[in-house]
Amino acid sequence: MTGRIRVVIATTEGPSTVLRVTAEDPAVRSVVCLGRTTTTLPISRAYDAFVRAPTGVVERAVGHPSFRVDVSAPIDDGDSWQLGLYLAHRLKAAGRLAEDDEPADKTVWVTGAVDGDLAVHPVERVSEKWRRSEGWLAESGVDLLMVLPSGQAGALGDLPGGAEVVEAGTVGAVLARLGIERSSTPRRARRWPFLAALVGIVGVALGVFAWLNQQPSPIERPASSAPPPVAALPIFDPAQVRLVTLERRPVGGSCAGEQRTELVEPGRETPPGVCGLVVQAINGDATGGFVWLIAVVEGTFREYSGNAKSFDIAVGSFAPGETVEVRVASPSWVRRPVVFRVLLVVSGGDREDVSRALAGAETLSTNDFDRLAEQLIELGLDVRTVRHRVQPRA
Amino acid sequence: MTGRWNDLGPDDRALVEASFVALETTALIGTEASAGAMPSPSALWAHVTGVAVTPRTELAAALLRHPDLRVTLAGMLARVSIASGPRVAAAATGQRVRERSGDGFRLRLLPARGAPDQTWIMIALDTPNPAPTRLTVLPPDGVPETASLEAPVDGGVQLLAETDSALVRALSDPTALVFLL
Repeated sequence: MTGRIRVVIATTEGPSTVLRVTAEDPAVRSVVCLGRTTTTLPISRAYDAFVRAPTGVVERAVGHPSFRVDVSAPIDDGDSWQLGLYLAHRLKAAGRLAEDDEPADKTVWVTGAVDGDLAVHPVERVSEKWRRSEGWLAESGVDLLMVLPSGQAGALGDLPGGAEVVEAGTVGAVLARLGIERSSTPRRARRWPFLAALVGIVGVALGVFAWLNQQPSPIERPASSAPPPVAALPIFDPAQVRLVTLERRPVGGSCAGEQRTELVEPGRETPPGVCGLVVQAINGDATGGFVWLIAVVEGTFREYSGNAKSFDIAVGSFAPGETVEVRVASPSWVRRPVVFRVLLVVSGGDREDVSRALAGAETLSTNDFDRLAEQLIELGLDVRTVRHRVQPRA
Repeated sequence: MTGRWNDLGPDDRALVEASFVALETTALIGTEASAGAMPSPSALWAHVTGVAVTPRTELAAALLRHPDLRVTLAGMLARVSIASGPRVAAAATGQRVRERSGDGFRLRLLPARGAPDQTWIMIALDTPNPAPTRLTVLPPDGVPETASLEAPVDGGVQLLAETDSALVRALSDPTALVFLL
């Protein structure tokens, strides 16, 4: 199946159409809004958990941790919205979600719960959802695909002419029916020490300038706004880049010895004894792009920390399946919690304005760091930030 | 008396009540109870604590008639609040701010990517307990703007508002005071 698809979530109050899916600033928790208004629906908290990795499945698939979904009618509770919203995300990532008034080649009427392994689970009151949608489906005259959990199609009444039914035990089966490939998986880890060091040297030089000015330089927009012709080439999709945060912990009692890494959910409190942070950006897209990845420890001790690596940056082209990694160490002499900040910027190609803006990042204050991220967002770049607090000493 | 309202025990709260009775009596002696009279301290306190909210138009009229009332109101809000934020040093007159911090919190205004005419109000709390339930902004003129807050998640509270709403305009005014109650 090809073409644009509209997603309609079945609820006991009637059908609720997915109007729009928008990647939000990563600092924002994901929300479901009613009809492009500021009204957030009660399922928003559950939806955020459904999106954000490591517990959520959406970030795992599309590589971005925060979204806003606008729907046409309220969805009050339960978890039968999960399959519909997951499909909407995958369609959006594939450029095939019919949003707003865009014409659709097909409409998917869907209900089902989804677990962490992407298995589809039965939901309650399917026949009631069907009855509340029946009139709308009969009148809409759309090319219809009904998607339900396995064994629940019996709850449907008479279908409109031409409607197809898919009973699914896994999300993969539905994606295959819609003609969407499964998420690609990262192949291997790779560090860029030389490039990072080179950028670091340039960064120090430019950082002095930034420090003297005490403010991040405004980012200049490119002199020429006309991008090179790319019509015949596949376009890099930043949403397919996944950001992973790992804590480094001692295998024995000291950070001086062997260390192991542990996947963490940024922002969530973890036990004391963190030697440092490893942050990886994984290009899950089939097309290459360009990446800037920075990790830094907040605090004035950066100015006198000497050999301790409290800042790391990786910049370069970003091949499909490639993993870019930065590592920063916790200041071992600090007894209070410390905060790590991460900034990821990805784009289809190298941009001098971004490299220039990030060159002095090593010396920026926390507020300047945030302001810089906002400036990059305003340039229309895909920007993600992470704030993770740890207790270095056990 | 020093300390915050939430920290006070029954005896201290009774003392506050008695103080208001005395202040109110003094106010009644000095001022005729007419339509243009300043709201009594207890009425203002009841408004601030949410016990009996003064209608918006009445409060606006009173603040217009009695500029000193704004100082009293700010003092009461500061006393009852869990966290408060001062005026922000702006680089130029009329400049709007997108970030402000105060005693116990940091507040940012982020443009909503999903709707250009909407703004995220992001509040990061230093300590999630006690959790604030209301955000009140007191601009240098006009009435205080208040919004209900959901329970924090990972020490953060977010709400979505229209960019041209009175609340967002007040928050981006560097001379406004911010209170989390």
